[in-house]
Amino acid sequence: MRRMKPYQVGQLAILGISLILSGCTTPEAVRQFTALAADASARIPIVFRDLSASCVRKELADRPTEEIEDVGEKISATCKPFTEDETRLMGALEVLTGYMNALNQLASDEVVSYDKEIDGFASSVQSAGNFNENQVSAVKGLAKFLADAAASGYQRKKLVSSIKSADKDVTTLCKFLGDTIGIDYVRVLNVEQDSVRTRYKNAILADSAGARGSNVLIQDRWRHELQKFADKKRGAEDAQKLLSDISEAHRLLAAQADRWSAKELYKDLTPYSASIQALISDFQTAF
Amino acid sequence: MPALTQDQARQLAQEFFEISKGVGDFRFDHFDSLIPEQNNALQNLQHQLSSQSNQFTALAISIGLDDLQPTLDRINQVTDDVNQAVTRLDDIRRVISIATTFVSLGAAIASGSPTTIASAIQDTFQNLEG
Repeated sequence: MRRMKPYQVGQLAILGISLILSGCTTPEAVRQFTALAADASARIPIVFRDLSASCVRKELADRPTEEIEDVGEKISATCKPFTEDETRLMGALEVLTGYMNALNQLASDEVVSYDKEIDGFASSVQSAGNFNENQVSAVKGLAKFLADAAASGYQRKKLVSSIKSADKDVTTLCKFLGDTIGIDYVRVLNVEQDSVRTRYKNAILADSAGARGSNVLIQDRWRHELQKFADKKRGAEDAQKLLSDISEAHRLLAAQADRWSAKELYKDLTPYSASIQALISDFQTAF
Repeated sequence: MPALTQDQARQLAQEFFEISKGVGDFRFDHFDSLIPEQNNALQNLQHQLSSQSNQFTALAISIGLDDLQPTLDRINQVTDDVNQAVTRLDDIRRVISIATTFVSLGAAIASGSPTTIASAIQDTFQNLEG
């Protein structure tokens, strides 16, 4: 193999420096956001699973107070549409999580670094050929830089085009999932709450001639139930806001994709990341 | 008759729920003046209306999911493209590793040592299979 001439090494160095100056930075902010978004959306299934569970609880609450029965075929059939919806909702949520995970992988440092492989290659070349250590070291350094920079350029281009092309659909998906939780699931909870309230009121009226003590117990129990409903509705609100934040942050990424600088992007995404983290914490206490 | 839209199904769900609450409130407000049969009838009506509300909610979600399918398909396509890009970048890493083992194999063959050659051949196969 011929030795590289000094001017050839210089040309590679100039090419390398201009790649730095063009602003090819590692999208650290994209990586952090997508990790958080994937984590947040992976927590939401518990809400969707409660759709059919709430329907069953409501149907059981509607049964006569003297009846103690398992969930029979009739109730299962009544709530089956929710079970079918849940499977499809989980599928839709997985599409969002899968997308965020894929972006997270593409935005990682490891995927665009070839240092280890080039080190291995350089060692094998050095031991196989008649090259001195300095020559191998110089070519190795430039090869690493160029490989990393080329890969980073490809990585960035792919991230930009993917985020921009998916943005409108991510907004639609997040809105749909958020509205399903904030409107439909909350209504199902309200329906259940009303059935439970009716059940407790029936119990109090049935026992109006009886001991006051039992009315106190019933009222305490009702307050406990009311708190559970309030917690779940708060959790639903958190989940809806989570999805809204994910959508907004993604829209910001897409809007600024052509002029990403890691520092500015990080600064712009930080409020959304902070909000998502706080919502996750609160959501976990509700469910 | 045209099929319901998601918004229409939601509206029906909400209206049936409001009516069921109204029936329940009426029953409790007039509890003392109702005969047991009337009480039971109103209670059953309340339950049926609220169950129907749930049915309309489930329908609204289902309609929404049907409408959402093209969106999901497009996002999945982008996800596939991104995963392919990651694979491509990983392939480069693999190519460099394979090239490394071929260089080592070449050096081993040049050395003429059977043990070294055998070890290098094994490494090459492992990398190719990797």
